[in-house]
Amino acid sequence: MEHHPTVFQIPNFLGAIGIPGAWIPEHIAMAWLVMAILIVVSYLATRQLQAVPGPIQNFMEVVIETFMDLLTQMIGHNGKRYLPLIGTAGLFILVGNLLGMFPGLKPPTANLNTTAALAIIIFLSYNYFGIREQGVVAYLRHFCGPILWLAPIMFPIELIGHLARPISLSIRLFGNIFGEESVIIILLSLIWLGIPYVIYLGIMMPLSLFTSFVQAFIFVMLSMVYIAGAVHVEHEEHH
Amino acid sequence: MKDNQARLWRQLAGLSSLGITFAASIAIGAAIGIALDRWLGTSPWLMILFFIFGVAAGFMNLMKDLKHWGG
Repeated sequence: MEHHPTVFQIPNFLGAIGIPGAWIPEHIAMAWLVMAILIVVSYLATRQLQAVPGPIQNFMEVVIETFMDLLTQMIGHNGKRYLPLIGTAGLFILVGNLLGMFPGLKPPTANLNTTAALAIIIFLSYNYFGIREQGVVAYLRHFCGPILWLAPIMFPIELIGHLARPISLSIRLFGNIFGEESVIIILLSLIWLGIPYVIYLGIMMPLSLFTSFVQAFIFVMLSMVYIAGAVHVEHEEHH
Repeated sequence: MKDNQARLWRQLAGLSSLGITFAASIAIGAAIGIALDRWLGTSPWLMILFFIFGVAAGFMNLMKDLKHWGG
């Protein structure tokens, strides 16, 4: 596929420490753009907090409360502790996906490196949360299954099962967004035919809006399930 | 009604990951096996063993997810 330059590019100012190329790679520049958007919006929302919120504060309150509700439903009353991790990941993915809607910008999540970074952070975090809540021994014992002599077989199986989680998280997000992005690029390259424009506006735009939200939702929800599974495994055995 | 719909969405999201997790488990198992074979020089036995572990892990994840999301 030929190179489609984005409208937002950053010259490579890190050449001195060995980063090659004249420009910062697209997905990194776009990830920084998403960060900038999130930082500016959060700053505007919390600059002067009021009892009767203004429009931006109101909007952000609704967003945060949605996350809080989901967390309480999925993890329990302790779920709010994980709001910083889950909320940041969710908002980053959502805003990143939505960047694909604007011509000239590319979603950072259409690159496997970005999604793998997110998935690895989630993977390390939920294991850390599990160890923090239960202690190393109790957490690792849960990998060995209920029957002692089956432990040598159960341990690699559980390990593989856990390692498969970040892979499936990252590849799902990457595949969906990259595929959607590719279809849009191909449609736009056929725009002289006339008909693709109708397809683009009528089908691909609503579809890409839908995928953006659904993929962010799936990522966030699966991370919550993983955290819930790591944090209170003991409860499941009791009932 | 609203609760039901939210639950349905969550179920859909959870169940949509069944296939890819299954495939990823097998791939991870085979990859670990090949890496161990290279390291210990026991090709192809550990690859076969860990491939089977991978399939078992895939099925175990499948059962877990179905228990969690189904019904």
